[in-house]
Amino acid sequence: MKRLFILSIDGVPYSLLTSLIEMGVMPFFKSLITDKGFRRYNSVLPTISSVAWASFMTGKNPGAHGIFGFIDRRPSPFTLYLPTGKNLRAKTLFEIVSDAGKRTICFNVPMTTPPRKVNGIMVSGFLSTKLHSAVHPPEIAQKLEYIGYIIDVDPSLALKDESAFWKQVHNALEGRKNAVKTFIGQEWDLFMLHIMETDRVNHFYIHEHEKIRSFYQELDHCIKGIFEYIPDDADVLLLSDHGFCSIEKEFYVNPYLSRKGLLKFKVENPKSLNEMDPSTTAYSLIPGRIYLNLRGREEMGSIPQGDYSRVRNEVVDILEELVDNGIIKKVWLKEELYSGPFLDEAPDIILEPIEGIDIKEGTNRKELFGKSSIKGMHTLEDAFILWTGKELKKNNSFSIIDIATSILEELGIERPSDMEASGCIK
Amino acid sequence: MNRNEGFVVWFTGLPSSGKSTLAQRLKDELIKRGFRVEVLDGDVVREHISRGLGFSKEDRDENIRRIYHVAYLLKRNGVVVITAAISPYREIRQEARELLKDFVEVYASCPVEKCIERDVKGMYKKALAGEIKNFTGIDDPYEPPENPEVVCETDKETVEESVKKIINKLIERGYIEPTDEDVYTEEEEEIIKKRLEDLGYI
Repeated sequence: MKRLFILSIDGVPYSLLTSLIEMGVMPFFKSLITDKGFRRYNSVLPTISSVAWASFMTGKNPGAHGIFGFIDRRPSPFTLYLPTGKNLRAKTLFEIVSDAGKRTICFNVPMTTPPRKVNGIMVSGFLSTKLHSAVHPPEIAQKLEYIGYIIDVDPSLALKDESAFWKQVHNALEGRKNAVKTFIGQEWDLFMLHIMETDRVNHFYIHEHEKIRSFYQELDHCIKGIFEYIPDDADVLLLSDHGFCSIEKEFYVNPYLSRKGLLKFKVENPKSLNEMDPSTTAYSLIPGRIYLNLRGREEMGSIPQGDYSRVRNEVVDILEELVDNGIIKKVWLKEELYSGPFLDEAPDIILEPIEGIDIKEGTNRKELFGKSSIKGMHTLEDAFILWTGKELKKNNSFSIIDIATSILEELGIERPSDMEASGCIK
Repeated sequence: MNRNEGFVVWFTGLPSSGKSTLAQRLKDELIKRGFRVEVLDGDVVREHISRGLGFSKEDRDENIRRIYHVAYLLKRNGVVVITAAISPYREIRQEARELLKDFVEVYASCPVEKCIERDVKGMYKKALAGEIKNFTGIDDPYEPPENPEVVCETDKETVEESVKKIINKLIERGYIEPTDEDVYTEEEEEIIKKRLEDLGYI
C-alpha cells in the first residue's frame, strides 16, 4: 500500500505562487507542477487557519467538528475562551489512520494542541507554548530541542525588530526541515509537516514585493531540501488552507451594530463584550461571526425563542446594507454554511468579507473603519493544492473539507461513514 | 502537601465584591473533580459559630480565628475548605496562612462604588444612611492583600473567568490535577492570547 507525505504551507495563495513561478522565483516548486495536479481551491468560512485545518483533518464542516474561530464564547454564563484541539470534537485523519493500524507522523498542524495520542508522533502547532507539552510521545521533545525545532516565530518581532523576525523565520524553516530529516527514517504511512511561517510573513509583508520575493525564494529552497529526504515510494501532496491579499482597511462590526441600536453596553466606553447590556439584540466575534442575544441560550438573553427567525431576518436586512455599500460580500445564515451536532454553537449570521476589507470585532472602538499593523488578510477562494501525479477536480470546484476522503483512499483506508468530504481527485 | 490533607482557598474582599458567588461556583467545580468541599461563608459562620461577636477589630479577628481553626480541622481530615468572609485585616490573614500552610489567598477585587451599586444585602445603603456602624469599606478599613495567590477583578471578569484563574492556580500549586478541559495554565493562556493578538486573530 502507498504512503503519503503532506507538506501543508499555511496561507499561500494560488495566485501568488503562479506569479512568483512566472518570475522565476520558485523553480523547484515549478518542477513539481503537472497540468492537472495543481489547482486553486476554496477554504471555509470563517477563513481562519484553525477552522480550515480542523475541516481538513476531519473532512467535516465546522458544524460537525465544533471549531469556528481562534476565540469563541460560551453563551451562559457568558465566557470568551480560546478553543484548542480539545474543542475539536471529531476524529482527525491522524486518529483514523492510527485506528486502521497504520503509523502517522504529524508536525505543527494548527488545532492539534494538546497532541492526540496517535499511533506514531504528533507535535502540536502554534497554540502550544512549550515543546515538552506539545509532543506525543513525550520523549521526543528533547530530540526536537536538540535539532533547533521551534513551535512558532514571535510575530511581535515583525513590528519591533525586523531582522530578529527574519532570523526566527529562517530558523523555524530550518527546524521544520531538520524534523523531516530526523524522523522520516521511522516507519510511517502518513507524514504531515506544516509550515506556518508563510502565514506570519504574509500578515506583515504581503504588500512588500521585494521581501515577499526573497522569502518565497528561501521557501522554495526549503521545500527542495525537504523533498530530498522524502522516499521515492511516497506520494506527495502540497497545499495551503487559504489565500491572502493586502488589507485596504479594517471594518469593525460591533461599533456598526451599536450604531444600528443592535448592541448595547452598560458602560460608555466598553473594553470587552463582558460589559454588554441585557437589552442587546446581536453581538459579533472576530471575524464577522454574529450571535443573537437569544433567551434561554445567552446569559442575558432578551430575544424570545419564538422571535428568533423574525429578529434574525431583521438583523440580516440591516446587514445587507453593508453588501449594498461594498463593505462585505455576503451575509450568510448559519444553516446555509454549516450542519451537524455543533450547529447550535455556530454564529447565527456569518459575514463573508470582500478582499481588502478585513472584518474585525472592534468592541473597544467607536469608528467603523481603521488600519492596524497587520497588512495582509486571508481570502476564501485562493488556496492552492498540488498533488503529484494526480488529476484533480476543476479549480474552485471543491473545498478544504473535501480532501480528507482522497487522502484515506490513497492510503487504502475505508472512509468513516460520517465523513462528509467528497474528494478532490477526479 | 500531604496527600491525605485538603487545602484552603481563602477569599478576601469588600462586602458584595463577589466572594460568596465565586466560592459557590468554585465549590461546584471542585466537587465535579471529586473533592470533598466545605464552604465557610462569613454570614453563616457569624450566625452559628461566632454568634454574639460584633464588628470591632478584636471581634473581627476572633471571628477569623474561629474560621481558620475550623478550616484547619476540616483540611486535616482531607476536606477542601473555601472561606468566604471579608477578613479585612492583613495580620490575621497572615496568621491563618501560617497555621493552614496549604493556603491559597484569593482577592475578590472590586471598586467600592461597584460594590455599593451591587449591595447584595442592602447593607451599604444602611451604612451610608448611618443606620449601622463599623461597616467595611464605609467606616471601617479594608486592607487589600499585598501578595495574594490570585486576584479576581470581579467588576471586569465573568464568574467563569475568575474561577478558571483559581483552578489554574490550584493546578500550578499541585493541589488538583489538570483535567481534559485544562489545556493551559494562566501564564500559557496569556502567551497564546498575546500571539493571537499580534496576528490580529483575536
